[in-house]
Amino acid sequence: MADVQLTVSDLISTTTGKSSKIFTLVGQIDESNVMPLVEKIYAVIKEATPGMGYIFDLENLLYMNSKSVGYMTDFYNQIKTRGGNMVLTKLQPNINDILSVIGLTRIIPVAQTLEEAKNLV
Amino acid sequence: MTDLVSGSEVAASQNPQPKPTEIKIILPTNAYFMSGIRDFTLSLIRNMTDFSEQWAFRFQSVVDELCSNAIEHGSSSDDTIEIRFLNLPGEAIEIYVEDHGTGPDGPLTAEQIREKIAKNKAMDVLQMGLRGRGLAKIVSEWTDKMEFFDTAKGGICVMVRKNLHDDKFKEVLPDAMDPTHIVI
Repeated sequence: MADVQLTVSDLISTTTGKSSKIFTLVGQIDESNVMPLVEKIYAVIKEATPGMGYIFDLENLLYMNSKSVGYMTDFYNQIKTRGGNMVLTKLQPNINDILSVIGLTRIIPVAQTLEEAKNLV
Repeated sequence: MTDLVSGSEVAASQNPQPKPTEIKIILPTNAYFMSGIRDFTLSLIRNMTDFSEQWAFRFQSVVDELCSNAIEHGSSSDDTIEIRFLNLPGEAIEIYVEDHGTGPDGPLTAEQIREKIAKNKAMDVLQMGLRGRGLAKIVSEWTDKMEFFDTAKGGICVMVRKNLHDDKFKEVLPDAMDPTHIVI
């Protein structure tokens, strides 16, 4: 069975004072484990203040299926509706490949580093 | 009297064409097993074919999406699906995934699936909802052929094929070292 770990941390910009959330995903996401994971992420988005920025740190995400990409799209829609921003960062080459072929990297900003992601969010 | 043998016959006997390799897997319809199938696919492509590392990861996704679709839409929870890998050395790889049509929404036809995929392919990525990207985007883009067949057992068989040497890539980058890579 695929295993994925989610860590949620808070980030406050020292220059702007803006708050952001960092979702760090480690492991693989497929049909066997996607639902519990997305429920946790939805809960954070729902409880956060409007305008919050979100960084998805995918450095150690080794696989994601199309269903999880669908949820990424919905996270983006919900975050934008709430006046916030969403950035993906440190994508593994195969993850970048998956998101690119689906077209998501044309819509959601992708940063190479966490520093770059902080500036984009 | 000496029998005369053509040069091509001599060459063929000295360098026989490698035979295709077929591997068949029967998988219970449980997403629990998908990580193992992905690992197997990655290993198979790396060790048994001439596709690049990038394509090994792409086939991981292709197989995962095909199997997940067969499990979710084409199968009951206590059924099996069949996966067949057919490696044609130096030429292509073909992957077949077959279900028994015992899914929760009743048996789908190949034509219904083709129509659904065509509809999803035409949609904007943000408007697609949560589902539909697997076959319409991932499998469709990363294979040269994707065909659906109704089976005698009432299910669906999907066949995908990826050619090792893609002439489409040669047109873009004729001097590319790796014919399965495209540089944008």
